[in-house]
Amino acid sequence: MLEVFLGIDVGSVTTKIAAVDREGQLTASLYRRTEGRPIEVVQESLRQIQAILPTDVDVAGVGTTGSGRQLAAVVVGADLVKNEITAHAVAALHFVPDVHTVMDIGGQDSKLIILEDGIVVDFAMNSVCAAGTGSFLEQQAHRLNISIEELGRRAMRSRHPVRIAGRCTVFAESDMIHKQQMGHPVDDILYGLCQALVRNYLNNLALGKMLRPPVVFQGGVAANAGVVRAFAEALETEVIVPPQHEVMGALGAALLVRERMNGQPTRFRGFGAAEIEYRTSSFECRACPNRCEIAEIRVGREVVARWGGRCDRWEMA
Amino acid sequence: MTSLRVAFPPLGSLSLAAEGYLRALGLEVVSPPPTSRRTLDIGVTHCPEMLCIPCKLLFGNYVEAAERGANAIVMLGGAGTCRLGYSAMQQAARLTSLGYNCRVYTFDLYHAHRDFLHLTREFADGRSFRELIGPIRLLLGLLRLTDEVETITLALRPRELERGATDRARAEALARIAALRDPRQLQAEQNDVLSLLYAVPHDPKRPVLHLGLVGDVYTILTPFLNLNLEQELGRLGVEVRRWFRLTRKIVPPLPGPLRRDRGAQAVRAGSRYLARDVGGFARSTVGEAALMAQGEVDGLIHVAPFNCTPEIVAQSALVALQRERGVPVLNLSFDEQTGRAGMVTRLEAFVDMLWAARRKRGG
Repeated sequence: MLEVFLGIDVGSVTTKIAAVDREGQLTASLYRRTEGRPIEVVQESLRQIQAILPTDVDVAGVGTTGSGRQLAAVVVGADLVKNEITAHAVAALHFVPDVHTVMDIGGQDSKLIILEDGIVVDFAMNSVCAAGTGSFLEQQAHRLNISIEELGRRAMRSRHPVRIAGRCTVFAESDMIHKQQMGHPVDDILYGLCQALVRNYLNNLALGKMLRPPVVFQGGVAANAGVVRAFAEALETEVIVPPQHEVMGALGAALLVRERMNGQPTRFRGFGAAEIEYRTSSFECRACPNRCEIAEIRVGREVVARWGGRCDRWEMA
Repeated sequence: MTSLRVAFPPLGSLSLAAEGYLRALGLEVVSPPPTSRRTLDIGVTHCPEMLCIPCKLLFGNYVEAAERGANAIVMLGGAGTCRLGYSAMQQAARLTSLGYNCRVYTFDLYHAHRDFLHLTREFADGRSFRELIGPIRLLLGLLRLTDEVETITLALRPRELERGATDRARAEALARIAALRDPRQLQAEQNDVLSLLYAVPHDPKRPVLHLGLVGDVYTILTPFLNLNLEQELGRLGVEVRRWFRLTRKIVPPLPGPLRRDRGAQAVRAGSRYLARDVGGFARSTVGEAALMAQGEVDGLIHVAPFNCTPEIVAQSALVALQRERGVPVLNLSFDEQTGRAGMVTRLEAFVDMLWAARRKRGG
C-alpha cells in the first residue's frame, strides 16, 4: 500500500494538488482553475487526484495553503494549514537545497523570499495592487488574440524590445496600444511587456534586498519563457525553473505535513469528502456599526465553519 | 450663545483621556460612535479621492459626531507637514457644506504638548490655575492608566489560556475607566481596574515572540483601519510593543540633566538612517525602530496608510536599518480594503520566519 501526503493550494486563480510519498517524492500532481468556486473545485480536484493515484493509496496527512487555505481545510479535513510563503520556501529548498532567492508569480500576487542556510530570512509580497502578475499577462495575450503559451514563445523571438511602462497595468496597456499603432512588431511589444513585468516586480518587492543566486522562479508565470528571459537578463544570473513550478505551493504544503505527522491519525475526511454537499450562506452581523459580512458553511444542518467577523463573536473553523 | 457640546474623534484610549479631561473642565462631551464601515462610507463619499485614509475616516468621525449633536469638534491636525496637517480647515469647510456648523479646534498629534496647553486655554476660559489642578491630574491619571491597560493587554494576549479572554477583560477595564470622573475616584479604583486584566488566566512561561510596532499613530490606534492587527498578532503568539506611550506624547519630559528622554534618544539613534524631520511620525518611527533593533525585539512591523508620504520615507530608511542591524522588518500598508486574508498571510509567514531564526540562534 502506498502512503501519501496531500498538499492543496487554493490560489486566487488556480487550484493545485500535490501528493508526495514517505520519502518526499512527488507521486502525482494536478493544476486547474479555481473558477471562482473554490469548494466545488477542491472537491473535483480531489476526485481527479484519486483517479491518478493507485487504488490502494493511504492518505496519511493533508496540508492546505494559498488564499483559500482555511476553506480547503474545512472541505477536506486538513492536519495543517500553512501560509504560502513558508510552503513555497519549503518546496524550493526541496529542489535546490542551497537556494538563496525564490521568486513566485501567480495569478493575483507575487512573492519574493530570501533564504540563508535553508531558512527564510526575509520576504515581500505585492501590496494593494495586482499589477505585474499573471492575470495581467493573460489579459494582454487575450487582447492580442494569442494564447498565454504563445506569448512566451513569441517574446523569445524579440530582438529589439520596446519599452512598456510597467508601473500600472492600465498605463502599460495604453503604452502597448500606442506602440502597436506606431507599427512596432508584436514580438518586440510582447517582450517589452515581459521586461515591464520584471521591472515592476523588482521595484516593488526587491527594494533594498540582495537577490543572490541560486535563484528559483516558480508559480504559473514561470511557464512563460519571455519572463524567465527578462529575469535572467535583469539579474544577470541563471534563473532556475523547477519542473513542477506551478504546483510548488501544494508540494510545500505536502512536505510540511509529512514532517508534522508522526504517525498520529489524519483528520482527512477521505476521498468521500468530494461527495459531501457543502452549503454556503452569508449574513450581515448587526451587533455593532461595523456590519461585518459573516460567511457560513454547512453540511446538512450542521455549521462546520463560520468566519469573516472582526471580533470572535461568530468565528469557528 | 448655545452651550458647547464638544466631540473628540474616537482614537482608542487617547479619546478616553481626552473626553475625561474635557468633562472635568465642565464641558458637555458628545462621544462619536467607534470608527466603522459607515464612517468609511461617509469619508469616502465626501473627501477627494487622493486624500489619505486617516483623513477620510476622521471626516466620517466628525460627521458622526455632528449627527449626535456636537457643535464643537476637536480635529486632529494643525500646522504639521503631512496632509493631515492642513486638513482641519478643509474638513471644517466640508462639514459646513454638509450643513453642520461646528466650531473647530485643532489638536496636532505631532505637537501634542503644545496643543494640549493651547486647548486648555480655549476651553478653561476664566478659570484659575487652582481650578485646573483637578482636571489635569485626572488627565494624567487617565493617560497613565490606559497606557498601563494597553501594555498589559499586549503582554497577555499571546499568553492567554482561553481565546478572547484578554480582549473581554480589556473592554471591561476601558468601560470602567470611561466612567471615572475625578482624580480621587481614579486613585481609589485603578487597582480594581487593572486586576480585571491580572485575573485573566494565562501561561507566563509560554515562549512568545517580541515585535516592535512602529509607524503611523493613527493607524496603530484604529483597529478598524489596521484590521485588528494587534489582536491577530496576539493570537499568533506575539507580544507587541508599540513605539509610543500616550503619556509620553502628551506630557513633556522633565527638564534637567538626569532626565531619561526616550524621544531624544530615539532621534539620536535614528539620525543615521533619517537625518531630518520629514513630517508625520517618520523621524520618531525610524528612531524608535533603531532603538528597538538593539536587541529589544525579534523583529519590527511598520504600518502606514497607503500613500502616506512621511511613512514612505520612513519605510525606505528602515530598509537601511534592516540591512545594517539584521533586524527583520515587515511593512504593512492599509487603505479601504476590509479583507484580512492578505494581512494574515503576511503575519503568519513573518512569525514562522522569526521562530526559525530564533531556533537557529538556539533560543
